[in-house]
This record gives sequence, C-alpha cells and structure tokens, in this order.
Amino acid sequence: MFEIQLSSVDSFKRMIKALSVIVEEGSFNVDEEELKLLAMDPSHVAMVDFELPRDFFDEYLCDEETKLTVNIRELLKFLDRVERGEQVRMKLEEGRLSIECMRGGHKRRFLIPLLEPLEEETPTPKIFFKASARILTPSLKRAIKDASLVGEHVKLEINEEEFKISAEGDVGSVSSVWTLEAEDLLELKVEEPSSATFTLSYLQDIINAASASSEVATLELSTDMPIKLNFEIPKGKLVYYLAPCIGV
Amino acid sequence: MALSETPFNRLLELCTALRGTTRRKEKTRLIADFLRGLRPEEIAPAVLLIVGSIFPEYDERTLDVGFETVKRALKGGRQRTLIEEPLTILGVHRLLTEIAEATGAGSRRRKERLLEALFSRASRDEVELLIHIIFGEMRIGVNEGVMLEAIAEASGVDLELLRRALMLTGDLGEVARIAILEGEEGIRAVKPRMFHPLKPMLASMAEDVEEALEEHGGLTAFEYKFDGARIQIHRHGNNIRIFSRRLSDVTESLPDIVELIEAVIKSRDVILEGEVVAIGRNGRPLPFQDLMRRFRRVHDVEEMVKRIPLRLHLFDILYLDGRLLIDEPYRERWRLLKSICPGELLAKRIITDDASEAEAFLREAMEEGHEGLMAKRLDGPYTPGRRGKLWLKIKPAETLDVVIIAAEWGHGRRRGWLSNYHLAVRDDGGYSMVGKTFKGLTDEEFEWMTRRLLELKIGETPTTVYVKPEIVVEVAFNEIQRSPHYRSGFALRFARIKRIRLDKGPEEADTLERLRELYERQFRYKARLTN
Repeated sequence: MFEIQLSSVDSFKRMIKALSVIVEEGSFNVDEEELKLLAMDPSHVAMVDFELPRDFFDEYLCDEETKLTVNIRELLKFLDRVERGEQVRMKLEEGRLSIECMRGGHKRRFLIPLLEPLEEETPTPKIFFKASARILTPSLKRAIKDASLVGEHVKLEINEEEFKISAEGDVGSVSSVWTLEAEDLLELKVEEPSSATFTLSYLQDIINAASASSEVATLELSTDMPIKLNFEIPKGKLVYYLAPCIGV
Repeated sequence: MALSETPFNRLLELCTALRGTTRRKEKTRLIADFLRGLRPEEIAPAVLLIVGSIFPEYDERTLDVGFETVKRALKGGRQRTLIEEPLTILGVHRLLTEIAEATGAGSRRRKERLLEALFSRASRDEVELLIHIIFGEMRIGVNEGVMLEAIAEASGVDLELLRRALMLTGDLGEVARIAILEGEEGIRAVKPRMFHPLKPMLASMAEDVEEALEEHGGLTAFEYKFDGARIQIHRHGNNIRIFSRRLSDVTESLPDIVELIEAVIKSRDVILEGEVVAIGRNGRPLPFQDLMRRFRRVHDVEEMVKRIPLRLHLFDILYLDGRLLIDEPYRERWRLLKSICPGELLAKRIITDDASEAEAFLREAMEEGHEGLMAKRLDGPYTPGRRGKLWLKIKPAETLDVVIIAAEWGHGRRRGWLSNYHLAVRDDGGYSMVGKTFKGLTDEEFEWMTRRLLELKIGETPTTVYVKPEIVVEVAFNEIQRSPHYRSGFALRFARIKRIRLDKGPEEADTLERLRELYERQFRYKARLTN
C-alpha cells in the first residue's frame, strides 16, 4: 500500500512542476523511506534525479517498494485544482492514483490511471567535475534571462577569480560575472578552470522551474562535459544533469 | 537472433547496399538476410523504416516535421546527449514516434529538440539516411512490392498470402513480423480488424462497354461510376467510423452519413463500401473539389453539412455479422448488401449482356453528371488493394493522375503563389517529369496549394521549390508527345489540372508504363485517321 498526506499541496506541486520540464511520463519509485524519480528526457539531453524523504509529508505510509508511473502533466492538472486550505491525500487504489482534497466535511476526489512503467534503465552520468559554484537562484535566473535576449546558447565558465555566464548572438552579447566579492556567490571551488556551452532553452526551463522550490543552487562543471545542477531544497534532493553543446 | 539491439548503422549499411544494385532479386535477398538477423521486436519498425515510413498506413500519426524544422535542428546539431550510445533501430523508431506524438502547445520546440538530439547521436551518413526517412523518400528502389517479396524470401511464406494479409491489415511491419515469427499458419490467421480500414479494391481502365463485356465473358454488372469520394464504413455495436480511400479517418467531417447509417442499415457488425457525392441545389452532383472541402473540414462541420449535402451510394459489403466476405463472389456480396440496406442507397446498376443497353446506361450516367461506369465481374471476389480486370472503369474523358514534384513562383497576378507545377508520373520507385502546368486552379486553390507545397519543401532555388512527392492532381491534356526534354521521354501537351486528388496518395499516381500505353493508343488512332 502507499498513501501520503499533505496539509498544503503548494510545495509538492512546485516540485512536480520542476520534474515536468524533463519528463512527460514519470516512474516514481516509492519505498518505506522515500519517494524517488530518476529520469531522462526523451531526447537524452537532460536528466533529473529527485527524492523526497518520508518526513517531507505530514503522513507517509508505504509497506513495500512500488513503481508508480503517471503522466506528469496530467498529474499537475489535477494538483492545480487543489485549493488553498485543502488537505490532500494521495493513495494507490486498484491500479490508479487517487487524489483527495478535503476541507471540513467536504471531499473531492480525482483518479488518475497508472501507466505501464518504462523499461528503460537510467544510469546517472559519472563525471569528475573540476569546478563548482554555489549561488543564489534568483541571481542565476536573472543571468539566464539576460542571456535569452541575444542567443540560443549560453556559456558557463568558472576559474579561480570568477563565475561567468555569457551569450552571444546577432543582436548583441550579454555577460554576468560574479567575482569572489559578490554576495550572491556563496562558494567557488576550482580544481581546474572549466567552461561549457549549453542550449539556453533547456537551462532556462530547468532553472525557472527549480528555483520556485530552491534558494540556492550548486553548479558543477567540467570543460565540454555535462553540467550538474544541484538545487538545495529543505528536505530531499533535486538534481539535474544537462549535456553540453560542442563547437557552437 | 541477435541478443543486443541492432545498431542503426546496420540499417544504413543495408540501404547503401540496396542503392548499389538495381536488380530486384538482389534487393530482396539483401533485405531478407537483414530481416532474418533482427530481434523479434525489431522486425516491424525496421520494415517500416526501410520503405520510408514510421507508422503503418492506417495509423493517423504523422511526424509533422518540415524542411525548416530539419534545417534548424541540423544547425543546432551539436547538442550532445548524456548517454553517448550509438543509435539503434529501435531507438530511432522510438524517437521518431516521440516526435510524431509531440502535439499541442510547445510541440514545435519539443520536436526540434528531439530531432537535434537524434541528429547529434548519428554519424554523417546516418543523418542523411534519417532525413530520407523523415521525408519518406528513401531512393533505394524498395517499394511495398519489393518488400513483400523480401518478406516472402525471409519467411518462406507464399507471396500471395502475404499480399492478402497486407491488404487486410494495412500494416507492412506487422505482416513481416507475423510471417517471420509465425510462418504461414500465422499469416493465414490474419483477419481484418474492425476500425482498421482495408485497402480498397481497384479497377483497370476499359476503352468502352464492349471491351468490358468481352473481358467479363459476355455478361457483367454495370454500376454508375460516381464523381465523388470513395468511403469505407465500419460499424460495430454503437460505433461507426468512416475511412477515406487513403485510409484516413474522416468520420468527424461526415456526421450526416453517420446518422444515415445509424438510421437505415440493419446490421450492427458490418463493413460497407460506397461513394459519397456532393449534391447541388438542382440535385445534380457538385464538382469533386467541393466535396473535398467537406473532407478537410474539422471546424464548423454543421454548417458544411447544410451547405454541401451529401448523397451516399453503397456498392459493396466486405464483412457482415462476424463473416469476412471478400472471397465471396460479387453477386453474393450484392445480395447480402441488399438484404441490410434500403434500395435507394444502392448504387444504380444493371446486369446485361447487351452492349447497346450498356451504352444507353453509360449515356444516362453521363447525363446525370457522373463520370462513367464501372463493370464488375459477377463471380469476382473482392481483392483489397489490387488493380485487376475483375473491376473495369469506363471513363469517356481521358485524364492522368500525376504527382507534383516541384513548383515555380508565379509572376504578375500569380505573384506570391507557387503556381507553375512540375508534373511527374511514377517510374520504377521514383518519379519522372512529364510536363508543367499553371492552368486549372482557382485563386483559393492556388493559395491552398502554395501553403501545402511549402510544408512539403525539401529544397529550393530562387525560382523553384522542390517538394516531397505527395500531392496528386488529375490532369487533362490534348496530346502526349515524344519529348527529348524530359527524362521520361514524354510530355503532356496543354496539361491542365482538373482537380486536386486529396483522396489519392503518390503511390497511386499513374505510371510511365501507362503513359506509354496511352501514347501508343493515340498513335494507333491517328494512324487510322490517315488510312
């Protein structure tokens, strides 16, 4: 059996939204301790590694490991119907996921069919990152938004002095630089100066969706390798990987 | 059978080898060997990819990816993926399916991202092959016929049985899978599925009623040949679906026909075939183009039902109450059809051995605004998808169905439209040009044609847009001439478009062979004149 309860659905909904930029059909693994999802987007360019421990929820009951595959966008539509002040209970019920919204004596109930779990195994990329930056997400979001004015690709660079995000295009060029004095930049670790370029739209989708749940993110880089973005959340794990573009 | 998934590169090797030979036997051998080496679940996707498609014919999904999208995806093709594994046949098919299934808001971007990722994992030659697949133009000389022979060779199942199974299911990949894994027994057990349309039986051309009578042994059935659109109606329980000649589901645009079937057909487990004709105010048939407007329509269907009323003429029954009827003779099928359907819905027909009676019937059909007559052999079975002599069409006005392969931008009043069309006939798996025309279309049609051709664009010069051969037009012409100008060796003199044949696919266009026949025939005729 599997059943969870939340007194407010908001933060849970934001997390699911953060997953929806990567996966359409998501297979959640649930066990006694946590709810997990590890999935790649269909084009294999981005990946999300997501975990919520049992104490994220007001109530969490699970007595055996189960795979729960749902259409994430459909799930979001239903979660959007939950109103402020409503208690939410989700449980597995005869091959369907039931979502109940409760306030006082009134109860609304949605049933979502479960899908066939996907066969595909998703291995996490094994990369030795050579540099990392820990930064406030609003600052990161602003820099990406700036870059979107000029180009379709964005370059991230870390060296001993600074963290830099830049973009170039026909209409101009844009850059954001955080030196060690910058308040928004919480930490800079450099084993080797590193830089890589990414498709802006992917990065923007990820950062916009994840920053709704997270104040601080750590970006790990290695030259021309996938980037790891670790968004710190109060309880649980929200990590993305994104493959680079080469020779842009 | 291979244990791990077959790399996409193997498919590339096959296609390169296929391009390297023009010998049919060699092609079928290469494909047969290839199919035998695949994993069971790879057979159907591989077969579809080799003939340049992604889904079986009855499947409504399309990639919906144009030239511009491909160009953009190629430009951004330096996007890496997280797992840099070589592409497999299944992986490619899965990704293409994902692309087709991306619909609704943001689907353009999703399609582009998927394409980009697909290209980025492919070698240069693989990218080229992928583009051929995406545009459905393989240029390896493997059509359905060659593929069926290859499946026969790989599976040892008789070609005729395979052909029949294909016509019943409309799914080449599935036929290959069953043949190779389950052999003859599996193929014999193939049945049509309700709501999966069968390919329509086709007719050959007859010069006149005498030829038809002679061909059919002196006695035959003549039906009106309607100037309308052929449809196949599937009804099971409370469900009714209607399919066009090209097997697309057109139920939504024909609510009046659905209603009619519900009201008057006595069986609830039946597949019927007939023709719908658009009716003008005076009760006479409207031009075919107006009818096609009904077929394309998804919005405001109600209004169209009022503006363009349809009349249904039923002429065949393929399935009734659990029984497949295609092997029954025409005579018996007609009897069954009559038993469940009111007489006024039946196509008008006579059975006769008298040429002058047939001639009078033909005149009557023409005077009522129809195209001519069909002659149907009384003891003939229904052969889905086959063009034989069991059915003959008698059409006094000669036209050709040709494919548009390119179009030139217009001048003067036609500026801004692609208005001069390069016409081609089918020729050995490819297309050979036989002329150009800018005659015959209305402004509205020019506009539609321009939009559609740009969607099909595969290349361009400042004056000309080259397109995926997809649009079929019926052209009238004054004469077929020998031409040193075109590779086909023939040119149509004064070609003009009679109508856009949305109900036909490029694979149904006329062939160079047929053009040659017509040429010879007109030559004979002229010779008679000078005699």
